[in-house]
Amino acid sequence: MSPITAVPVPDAFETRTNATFEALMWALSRPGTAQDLPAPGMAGIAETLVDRECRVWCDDPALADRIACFGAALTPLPRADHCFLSLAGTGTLDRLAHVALGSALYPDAGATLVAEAHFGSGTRLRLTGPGIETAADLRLDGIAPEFWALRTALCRYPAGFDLFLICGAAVIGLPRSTAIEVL
Amino acid sequence: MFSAGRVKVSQAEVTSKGTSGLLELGFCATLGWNEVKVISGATLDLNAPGAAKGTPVEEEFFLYHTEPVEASGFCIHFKLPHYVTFQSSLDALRGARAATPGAPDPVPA
Amino acid sequence: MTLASLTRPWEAMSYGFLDASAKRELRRKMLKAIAVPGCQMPYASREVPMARGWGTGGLQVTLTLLKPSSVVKVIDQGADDSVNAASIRSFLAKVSGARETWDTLAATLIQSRHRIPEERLRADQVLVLQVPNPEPLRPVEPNMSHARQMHADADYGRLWLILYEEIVRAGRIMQGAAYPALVNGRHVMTPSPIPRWDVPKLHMARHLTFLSAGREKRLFAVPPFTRVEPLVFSDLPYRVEDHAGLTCHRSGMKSFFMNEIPQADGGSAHELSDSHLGIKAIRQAEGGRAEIGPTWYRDGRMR
Repeated sequence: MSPITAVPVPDAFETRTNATFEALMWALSRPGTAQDLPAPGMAGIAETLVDRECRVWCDDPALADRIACFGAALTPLPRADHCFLSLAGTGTLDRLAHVALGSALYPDAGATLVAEAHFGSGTRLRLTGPGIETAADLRLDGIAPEFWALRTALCRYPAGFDLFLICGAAVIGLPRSTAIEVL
Repeated sequence: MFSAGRVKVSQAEVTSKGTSGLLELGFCATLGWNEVKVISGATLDLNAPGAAKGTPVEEEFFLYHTEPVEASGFCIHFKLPHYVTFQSSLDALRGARAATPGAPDPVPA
Repeated sequence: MTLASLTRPWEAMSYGFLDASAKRELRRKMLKAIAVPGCQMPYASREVPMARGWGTGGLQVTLTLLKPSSVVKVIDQGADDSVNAASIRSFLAKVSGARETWDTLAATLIQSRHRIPEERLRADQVLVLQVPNPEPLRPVEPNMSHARQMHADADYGRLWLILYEEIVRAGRIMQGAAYPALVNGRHVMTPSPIPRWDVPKLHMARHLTFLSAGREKRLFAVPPFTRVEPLVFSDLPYRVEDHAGLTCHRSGMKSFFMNEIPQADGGSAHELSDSHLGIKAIRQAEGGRAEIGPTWYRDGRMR
């Protein structure tokens, strides 16, 4: 058995989740700026954030099975604190009205959303707010165009949801504090 | 003359901006070695006199936050250096004194 | 699902001391804190091998972020070499294998008790401030539920009132350290008991700041480029400590936040509160190699 006094070395799980969190933290701190995840896909984000203290809604059965392994309860959308979902088709937006938004009294009860998108083409957006010195422009595809107006209508600061968008191994964070203008 | 014995006594003095707006002293002494209790008692002495009901310096609220085990570390942390926070208060006290000639010295002799 | 997929190999101690579930909880709350700047997020503050009130809140945030390539600096009231700073720093290094430093420029992660370094922090640096009392409304509303409601309503009138009363009584605002500030135009936060000198360093900064109170079990954050405006009246400007005219008697550095050292003759000598900045200045004066980065203040003025 190795002595406890040795310099601690993180195992692969710790290294992966630490790096994933750092990417998420900087993504949310600098909205619109893509950060690198150690591995592509949503599962890495789930293993970094979610455990048996969480209620998760997931529209991908394969991912839902993996999330269940982390101990999270799979629940209906309004009760979920983390939602892994698709925002691609207009039909997917109806359920957005059921996402937990928290309240001015409990802003932390607003859900964290994770969705796939494509960076660098499509709808042009202008972001302003905390984390952005003046304004940040970006192009996103793979999100229903009606989503942005719906987000503005739902997120009445400090209530609202926080969104992570994934494109391969890149992640962009859009916290509720960011004002988004469709150009 | 005779000696009946010796007792160990612990005492603490704390200073902070009091209700008068000047620096004030709080004091507490106990028999035996009781760091948490004397620091908690001295801060109570500093803050509680004249405290209105329902304020955070009122006796009930104050002891609730300084006496339990959870708060023992917080009480003993007053032994750590506080020169930055103290300097900042001192600056405001001196500034106010300089602006009103004849005002009492913020640091009592 | 197999049993093997749910278990992990035995470890003597979790990397970075905190176990994986504690870290996940902190991560979730840290993200929410970034999403709503200045808003206090409750978290299940864990037991750490240090008493409450000695920086346990800051410690838990730092432990969550640590990785082997981290370079940590720990400050206690400006100094790297005081007992508490030294023991926290060596603990952090011991449980993570991270490198220790005193130099603000070399650090990736800075845990601080009540000072922000005088050298400007960069976009890649994270500042973790230890917070004794996270509730700026406590002087006016000791009841936590009522205070929460006041934050929800952005009802800060009573905070303005005590500042006004101080002006009436003393001719100036008497708040020393921990000057309340409005974050992102919405939530009033206490910046922790940093001196007034340091509060403007949080406004539209490049770095990310976490503020964490272990005993009170709440954390909050100031992301980069976020408005942090001290509560002031439009006709009475915000005043930092009157230190612009002071000179450090050891390093000769001028116009930074100073500690006052009482002298035998009744006078005072001053020395830099940011102790390592002083050390670097002395090294430079002695012809040694020491790089001093750009500072927030120049000639006693914030720039």
